Amino acid sequence: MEEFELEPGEHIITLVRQHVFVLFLKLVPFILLAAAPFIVAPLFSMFEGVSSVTGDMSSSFRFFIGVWWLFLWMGVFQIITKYFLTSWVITSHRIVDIYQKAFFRRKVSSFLLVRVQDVTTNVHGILATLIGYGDINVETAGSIEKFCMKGVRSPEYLRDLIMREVAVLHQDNDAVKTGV
Amino acid sequence: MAGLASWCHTIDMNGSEKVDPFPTPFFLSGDSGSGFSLPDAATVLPAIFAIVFFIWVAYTLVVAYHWFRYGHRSLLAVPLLALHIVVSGTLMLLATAGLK
Repeated sequence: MEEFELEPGEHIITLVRQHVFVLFLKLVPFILLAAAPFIVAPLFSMFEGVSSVTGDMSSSFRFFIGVWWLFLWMGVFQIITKYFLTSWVITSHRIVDIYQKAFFRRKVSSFLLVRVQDVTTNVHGILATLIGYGDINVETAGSIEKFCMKGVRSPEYLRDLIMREVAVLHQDNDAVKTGV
Repeated sequence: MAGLASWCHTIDMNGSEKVDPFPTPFFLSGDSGSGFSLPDAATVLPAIFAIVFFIWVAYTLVVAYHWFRYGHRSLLAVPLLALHIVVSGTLMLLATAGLK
């Protein structure tokens, strides 16, 4: 990892991304747009009479379909890229929130687990319940900003994992203070 | 009143006068000699494709930069970039297949 350095004794527990189904939902509009030329094609056939001006209509139409799908594919690949470059890295000491908002717009923030006060999960809807994805919010002491990740796989498991790590850290701190 | 009478005479409704169709505007006539004419698809489409290809090259460079900068440890980086190039190449072949 180049965006953050692991401290001595710190290790990565897990890396969290959005559920693949959430990625699929983002790609659905592109599937519909890819089918759009076949809806528009009958309109093109209405203008066959002007094909002498614009050249061979079939080759032109194929050209525009190819270019249209190429731009759609570029949009799809951008979403795939953002999906893989956005993640939460949960280490034994902190959570690193890496958010790729767009190309050349990347936000990396981290917060210590000992400062975690509240972890909330939100599973909303039939699909989210059946497939098993949801939102997870983490509130930290002294920070107004909420750390949120939407559409993660098994948010309850993550919540328990974070709270378990927080408890372990607090136990270690208490042991150091009491000298045990 | 005399002027109105002559005007009414001009548009005689008996149908005896021959009505000429409007002439085709010069910019739609397709004559390349004097006025503007619609460009031929054989010259326009390759130019459009050149612009699209330039955009695609810039986009691919940006995507590859992000993958190698931030996701280079991922095992999916190279296969996904290869997939991007294969899919894009196929679509570009589809687009250019019918061009003369």
